[in-house]
Amino acid sequence: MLTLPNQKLQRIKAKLSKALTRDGALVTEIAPQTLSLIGNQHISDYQKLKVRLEKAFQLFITIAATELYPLIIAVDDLQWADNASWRIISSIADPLLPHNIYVILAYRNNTVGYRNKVNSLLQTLDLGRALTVNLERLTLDAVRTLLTEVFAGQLQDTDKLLWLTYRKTAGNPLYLKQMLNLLLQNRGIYYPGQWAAERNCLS
Amino acid sequence: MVERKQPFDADKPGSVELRLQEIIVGREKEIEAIKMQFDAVLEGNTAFTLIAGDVGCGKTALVKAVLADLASSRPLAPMVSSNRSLVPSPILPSRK
Repeated sequence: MLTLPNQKLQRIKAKLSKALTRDGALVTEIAPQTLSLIGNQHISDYQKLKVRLEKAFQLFITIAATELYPLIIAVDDLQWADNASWRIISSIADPLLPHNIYVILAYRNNTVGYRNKVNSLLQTLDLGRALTVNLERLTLDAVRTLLTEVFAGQLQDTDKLLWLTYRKTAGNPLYLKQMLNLLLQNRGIYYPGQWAAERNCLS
Repeated sequence: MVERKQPFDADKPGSVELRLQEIIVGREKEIEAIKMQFDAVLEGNTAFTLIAGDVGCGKTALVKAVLADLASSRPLAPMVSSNRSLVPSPILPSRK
């Protein structure tokens, strides 16, 4: 939009100014690139502005949850949420709001920093009877099931590959899948009529 | 075990890789618990589920599997997510 001819740009600026009035500051706060369009509006009371934004979002979610029922909101990597994002999440978790939504919050808890940050954020919410799922590493049996299913039961030396992958990845699903992908790409596991692992790879 | 319903030919190029990408194992209890929690919403409540774990332990994959499962059994469950890869169609994507 900013690359448009000046005359057109001025017309858009005028329209935005008329439509947004003092709420233009809400837009420039979220998207600073719009400053040259909307102008640097004076924010007389920043706290009031934040409350208006949260109220607007609450209203949006309330209507969405009613119209799109059942509404599910999944937020991944909560450990990286900034304050503004967290305030939005808090505003939709307000128990006084008349909406029925399912909120899934996923986060890393592998460092003290992440744990402390997420715990302090969660303490500010009224979660009611929240379900907490702590994902552990896969068991040896689960890895065996994975190998059996992935290769449709057609893998020779399953046990050897099982021990190799489990020892190297400690049952971490991501590392396990990455390792198997690497073996497939490099023909460490190949298909000469039946899936098999290279002897060098297993030794 | 949870998987998408994809045809599978063991010798077809890419089939194993695709299967490897989509299969989730060892999370059956967690998936059932999450689906039960979702039932509370159908009964008229707001419900929360917190999924925590180490890097690579399958948090995103679990959410993705559950969302796909819920969407397939309940077509009126639109979804908004901070991670576009989580969201099965039909979607209301976020800007990320």
